[in-house]
Amino acid sequence: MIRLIARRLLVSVPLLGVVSFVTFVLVSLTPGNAAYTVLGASATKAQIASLSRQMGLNKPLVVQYGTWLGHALQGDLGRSLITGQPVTQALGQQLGPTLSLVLLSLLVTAVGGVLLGVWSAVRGGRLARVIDSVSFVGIAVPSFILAIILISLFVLKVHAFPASGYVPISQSPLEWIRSLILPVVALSFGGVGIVAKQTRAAMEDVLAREFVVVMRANGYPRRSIVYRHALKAAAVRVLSVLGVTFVGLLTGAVLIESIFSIPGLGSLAVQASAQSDIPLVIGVTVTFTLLVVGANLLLDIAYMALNPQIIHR
Amino acid sequence: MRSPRVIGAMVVCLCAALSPLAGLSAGAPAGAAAKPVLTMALATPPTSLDPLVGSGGVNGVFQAPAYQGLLHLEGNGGSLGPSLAASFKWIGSNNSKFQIVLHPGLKFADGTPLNSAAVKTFAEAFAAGTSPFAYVGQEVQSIATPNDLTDVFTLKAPDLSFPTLLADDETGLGNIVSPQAITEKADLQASSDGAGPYELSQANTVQGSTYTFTPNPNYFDKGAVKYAEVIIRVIADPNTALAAIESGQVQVAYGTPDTARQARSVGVGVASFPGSVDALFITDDLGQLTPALKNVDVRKAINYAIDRKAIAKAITLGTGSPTDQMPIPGSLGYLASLANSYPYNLAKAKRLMAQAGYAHGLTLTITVPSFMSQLANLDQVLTTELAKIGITLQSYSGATFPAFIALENSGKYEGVIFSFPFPKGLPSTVPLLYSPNAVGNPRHEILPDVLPAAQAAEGIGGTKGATAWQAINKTIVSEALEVPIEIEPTIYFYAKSVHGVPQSLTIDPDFMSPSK
Repeated sequence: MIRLIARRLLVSVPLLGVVSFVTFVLVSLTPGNAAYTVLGASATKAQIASLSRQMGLNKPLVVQYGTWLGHALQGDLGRSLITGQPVTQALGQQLGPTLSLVLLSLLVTAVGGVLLGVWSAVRGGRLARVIDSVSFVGIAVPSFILAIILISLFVLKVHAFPASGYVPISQSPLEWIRSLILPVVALSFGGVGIVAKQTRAAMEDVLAREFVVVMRANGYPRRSIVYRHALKAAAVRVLSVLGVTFVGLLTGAVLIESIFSIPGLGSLAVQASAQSDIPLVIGVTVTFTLLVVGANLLLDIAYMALNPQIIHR
Repeated sequence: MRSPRVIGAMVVCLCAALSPLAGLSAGAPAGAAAKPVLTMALATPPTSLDPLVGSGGVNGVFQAPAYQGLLHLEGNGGSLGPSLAASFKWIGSNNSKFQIVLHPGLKFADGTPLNSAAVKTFAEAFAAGTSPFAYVGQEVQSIATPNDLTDVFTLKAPDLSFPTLLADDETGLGNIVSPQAITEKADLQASSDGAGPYELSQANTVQGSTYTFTPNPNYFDKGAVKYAEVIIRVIADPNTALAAIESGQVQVAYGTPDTARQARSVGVGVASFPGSVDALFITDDLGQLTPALKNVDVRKAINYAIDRKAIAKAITLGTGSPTDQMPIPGSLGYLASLANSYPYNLAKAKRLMAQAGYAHGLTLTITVPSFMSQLANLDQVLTTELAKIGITLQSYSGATFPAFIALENSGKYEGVIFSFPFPKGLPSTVPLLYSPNAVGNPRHEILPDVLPAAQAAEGIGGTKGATAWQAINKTIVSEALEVPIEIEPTIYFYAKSVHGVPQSLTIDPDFMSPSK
């Protein structure tokens, strides 16, 4: 397992290099630069040229990237071209809200999706059809539409939740969860549907297997067969879906953060891209990449824990 | 299965989380001062909190709590009043020497005195800084400091609008930064050092998201500090902003035409007033790229081919109004007689095109800021409307602000769709559209009938000055040098608990107070 972890971490180093370089090139190739943002609509060409020089944006791309990489290797991701804030500080401030949103959504997606999928597979009949319908709705309704509906129902009509913003857990655990309930529901609703459908298919497959029939014949309790044995056998397939769902949640968080005005990495990415703030855009991209690499690593470890044979493949 | 105790605990937690009362504790800590907290919502974050780096516009709103202006403008197009300066006046009659006298005893947040020397130091640093309004500082030839409280600005050329440029957060020139912060090159993006009623609280600020200001202990008029905290939040989605104000999370928020109706229906206060002019600005009036544009008949045909009333109704949902001229009603240069100069008349437009020798049409290339939805919509409408008289509009979109300005600055296009605020009327158009280096003049055109007359009008005050600007406006409209389309409103939503939401382009929390 340690070899696998080491291998994954080694692979992630060039991956981060490629991601940061591609991001750098793509942002640099878009017309305009951060000097246009700072100077605003009434700036003259001379002002823009002067500030671009001050920011070092007139240097060749390779030189700019090389300078950034040199500092990045020493743990310095630079400063925002717009605010002057250290990128690591900005990321540190806005990572918490995104992690809270995405991890809670992943939890809801996993628990909700697996429970619905298992119930649907075990009970079948009307319940299965209801769960199927709910799953379809979850997949079909875009998260931003759901977010707007949730705001109008639970903020404006019922006044149960705040309309926007984020409260750190250190400030108030209760307000933290209140500030995240609607965004989490909006973000995870589609994922619950997907995971439920996959879980149901996997469980139906497993429950039809010979070992289940034998266990039933030997009088094993139904709950034990379903939750201890069948679910474990179906878990690898469910986990792979959850891995993909996690990446979907990360990208979906960008929109949800914007709608609920959550100061997370998603809104930071949107803002930095709109302002051509290259160091910040790269910082966010690298952080997202690290999160995906980390999630995949955890997934691999979970696979191995469920089925040790996987390590030999 | 789970024990009933666990399920019971979960239910209790859920109920507590759902309880509306639970939220009331946030922002109202026990033992807090009697003064309330003012929370405002804006759509975009500032590009800088440092007036020397980036001032005016949205930056100005975020800088206003910590940097009060030298003068104060009472509402949109309203009169100027004192602020940090106790009095002010022009010296002489040619609008080129302006004097301010500061309140005695002013201090910056760092405790150092705000005196005439501090104003001079700041103004010189401002002119040398990167603020988009640095050119305003560069208009000043010299600053005399005859005593500790008096500054006399001598301008390089007469500028009737100069006092307005010192007001509130209009340009930043009036938002004096402490000389100590300037000398020590303090990080004014992370802190503040002005003489406003509040100062930036670094600990409670998340750049790009939430900006918190607490009272400045050195503010000269402590009675004027009405709030225990001013928080400015960035809420990009207009529907969320409205929901935030409806739910009491914020007290003042920006509004949009499509949320204004809903805001009124739920009893939220709506301040709506003429804001900016949406137009197709022609940047090739001299016809260097497309010779047809040199022909006044072609430019008039474009103006006649546009159904302004229908567009204003559709794009601003009835909150805006059609216009044929750039100054908004009541501002300098506005002429009521010019209203409806170009009524929608397709037949006349086609006739003019034929008369100019372009009966078979022509192609125009323009730039559009596609990230501004109302202007992207306007582009689509104009493309359809102009196609009716044979003009093919090829639009090049800038998806972000830098991308748009880069396209615009290239000088390769004959026009640009944009929305400019002209708060001071026609004089505002000169630095934005007609000066050789203006952003709206990427081809550096010098329009012989406009620029010399505008430069001359700058030095004329009073009724004569107003008449001179009206004459210039008449020229611009009669020669169809631009294609103004609609006046787009600036809309703010406010809770009834707030008094003094200003009727101006920039919203300044310094002058708001809790309702009695």
